[in-house]
Amino acid sequence: MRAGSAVALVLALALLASCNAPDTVAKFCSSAVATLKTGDALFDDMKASCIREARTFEPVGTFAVSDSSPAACDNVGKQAEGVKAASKILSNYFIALNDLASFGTSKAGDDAKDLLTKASTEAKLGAAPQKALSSVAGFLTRAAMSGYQQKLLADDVVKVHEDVKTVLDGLGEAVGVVYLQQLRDEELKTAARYKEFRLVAEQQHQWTADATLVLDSRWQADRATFAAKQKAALSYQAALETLARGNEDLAAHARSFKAIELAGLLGPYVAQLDSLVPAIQKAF
Amino acid sequence: MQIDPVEQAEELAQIFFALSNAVDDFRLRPDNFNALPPDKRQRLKDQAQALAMRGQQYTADALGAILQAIQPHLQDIKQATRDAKDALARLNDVEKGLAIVDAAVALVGSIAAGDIGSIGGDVQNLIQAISPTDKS
Repeated sequence: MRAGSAVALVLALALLASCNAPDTVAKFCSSAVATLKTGDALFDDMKASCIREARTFEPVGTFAVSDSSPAACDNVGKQAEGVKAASKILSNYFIALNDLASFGTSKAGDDAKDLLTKASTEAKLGAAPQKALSSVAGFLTRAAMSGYQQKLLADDVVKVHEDVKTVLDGLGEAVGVVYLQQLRDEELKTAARYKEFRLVAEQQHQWTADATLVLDSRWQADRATFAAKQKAALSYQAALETLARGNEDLAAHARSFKAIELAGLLGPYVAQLDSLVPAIQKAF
Repeated sequence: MQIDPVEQAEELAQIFFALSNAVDDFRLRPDNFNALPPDKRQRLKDQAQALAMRGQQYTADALGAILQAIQPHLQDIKQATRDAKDALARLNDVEKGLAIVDAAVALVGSIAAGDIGSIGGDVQNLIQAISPTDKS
């Protein structure tokens, strides 16, 4: 009788020791936080881009030691700070979700494995069964807690998934449309500044082949910087779209939370986010 | 027809940037540049700058409109964040309780079994479980 119960207990624990759904959610949230963090450099560059553009109207060789900040650039900076703060709020949400999803994930698995070993050993030896049973009771309470934890996670994800999508779309628009437009304009103004420098030098008969080479080299370096920043902006927007799609899928499956299915569902999103983050960081 | 303030501001920014660049293109065409007196060239340059800065102002407006659109959703997300933190605090309290029970059961088991060698360690574990932990 005791041996039969022990075998049943071992089987039950083996089932409970399988991989944990919140762990997959934690990985997704962690990638979300890393992705959102990369946006800070882009938001900071919005005001800087405006100031750099204003500077292109100064003649080459002005050598100003401080940048004037036109009112429009101050306004861009102020709004960009607001957008950055919105990104931080979203980031905090994913951090809280990550903390909740990470709660006891490894511990539950370890507990199950420990109990499995203990139950197998004690079934053979038949020693101190009350100790094993009290441990099992503790584990079952933890399993119930784990169910509660999964319910809380699902509630949170489902409750705000549409809000999360709207905010992600807004952040994506701020960088992928508004900032991109700024960068393209700054690039054109930088080119105009070089053109003007050349025209003035030609008028004064001071234009040389050396000057052409130096200016061309500068321009190529500037173009590479603009290209990298524009790519970063588009990568950031793509990453946020990926994040929104992943979050929608997570919300759609949050109530079932089957670990293996969830890992298969979120895995590609996590991989895509992890590959986009370096492309964003590269420009800054 | 509904007006999208974000789209409107983005379009206006683009229009003013394009106007500014058109003035620059005209000013920097070699024939024009050489034909225009310096004061006229400077005036065109100032106008191009004013148009560009107007474009930047609409850029700020576009960002402001985006912020306004997402504001109510941010409130919901803030609430969900608080809910998740509260839930975690509740789970931590239960976990702490379980750790105390585990340690107490182990100590009682060792005393009942007369396992003197384990009693010291079990007492230590119980003290550790009871002592308050940092909640960061």
